[in-house]
Formats: sequence, structure tokens, C-alpha cells
Amino acid sequence: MIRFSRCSTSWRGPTLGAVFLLVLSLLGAGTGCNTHHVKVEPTHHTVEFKPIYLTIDVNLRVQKELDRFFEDVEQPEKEKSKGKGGKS
Amino acid sequence: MRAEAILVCAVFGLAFALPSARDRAEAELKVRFRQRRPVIQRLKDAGKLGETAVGTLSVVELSCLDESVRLRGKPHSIRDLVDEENRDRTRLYELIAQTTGATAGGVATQAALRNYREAAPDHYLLTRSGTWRTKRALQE
Repeated sequence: MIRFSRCSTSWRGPTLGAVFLLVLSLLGAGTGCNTHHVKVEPTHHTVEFKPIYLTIDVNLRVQKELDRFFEDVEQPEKEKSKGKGGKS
Repeated sequence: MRAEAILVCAVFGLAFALPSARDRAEAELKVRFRQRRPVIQRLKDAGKLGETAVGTLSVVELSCLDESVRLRGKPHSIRDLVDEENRDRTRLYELIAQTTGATAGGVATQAALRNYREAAPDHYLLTRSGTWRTKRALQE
């Protein structure tokens, strides 16, 4: 009983640790609010367009390679049809 | 020293003179494609074979799979002909993918587009919904 009364009377405000924890939690809350506001939408535009151009470029190269290969394969047939009077 | 120089020149000369493994594979494929092409064209004209949307050849009606055709002077079933053609097409798509930086699947899709473009009006094409339609019907 005596100890309890002594403790309650000798309280001298918040300890240093408590203040530190309070500051930390306030900082954390502040950071949390900030992250909600930050959106990186503009970067989407630059990222989206590049692959499309690359895909078109690759597809063109593929088409050229296919044409080059099948030109040789189809050549005798085309020459024959030209000899007969053109392709139908 | 001189002998070494001659050896280096010879190695470089051979490297440029000899066709690469890719060129040889392509040349072999061309020969086989050329041999099969007239037979395949005839079967396409007869409405038995058609092109798919994934760059492969396929039979329009399963009933003709075991019919016999002459290829390189020997009788072959249509099933064997189609299998052989699709094996070589897969190999070709892989070769083109290596040189262009595309995937083999991407090359196959581009080949399918080319096949659709080059098809005669009465040739059959397999749509993505899985039905066979002639090019003429698709264009209407």
C-alpha cells in the first residue's frame, strides 16, 4: 500500500521511451498517408508503347523471312503459271 | 610463323566458304517443301486439306486421313504427308525464330496469316472458332 501510494505520487510525466514511440507512430502514420497519395500513372505510357513497336518490327522481319523462304519453294510453280498465261 | 598465318587464313576461309548449319538445314527444308507442294496443292484444290490459324496443315475431313497419295514416287497416306509437312514447318518456324528474335509460336502465327493471304478462293481455312470455311466464304 505504501509503495503504491509512493509510485502514484512520484509520476513525472511520460518517459523518454514513450515519447520516442509516439513520435515513431506519428511518423509511420504520416508515411502511410503519403503513400496513398503517390500514384505513378505517367510511367504507364512510356512502358506500354515500346513493346508494340518492337512487336511490329519483329513481325515484319518474320514476314520477310517467310516470304524469302517460300519464294524459292513456290518459284517453279509461279514460273509454270506465268508460262500458261498468268496466275489465276 | 608463316605456317601459322596460312593455317589461320585457311580456317577463316573455310568458315566463310562453307555454308552454316542453319543454311544447310534451310536448304534441306526447301527441297522437302518443294517435293510436297504439288501434292498438297492438289489436295487443297480437292478440299481435303486446309490451313489452320496456328500455321499448320490439317485435313478438312478425318475420313481422308488414310487415303493414299504418291510422294517421291512412293505411296504415302495423307496422314503421313500432313505429319511430315507439319514437322518441317515447326523446324522452319524455329529456324526463323532464331534469326529474327521472335518466338516459334509468333512465327507460326505470322505464317498462318501468310497462308490465309496466299490461299486460293476455294481453299479451306480453319477459323479460330474451329469451323472450316473457304476463303471466299470468309471474305463475303
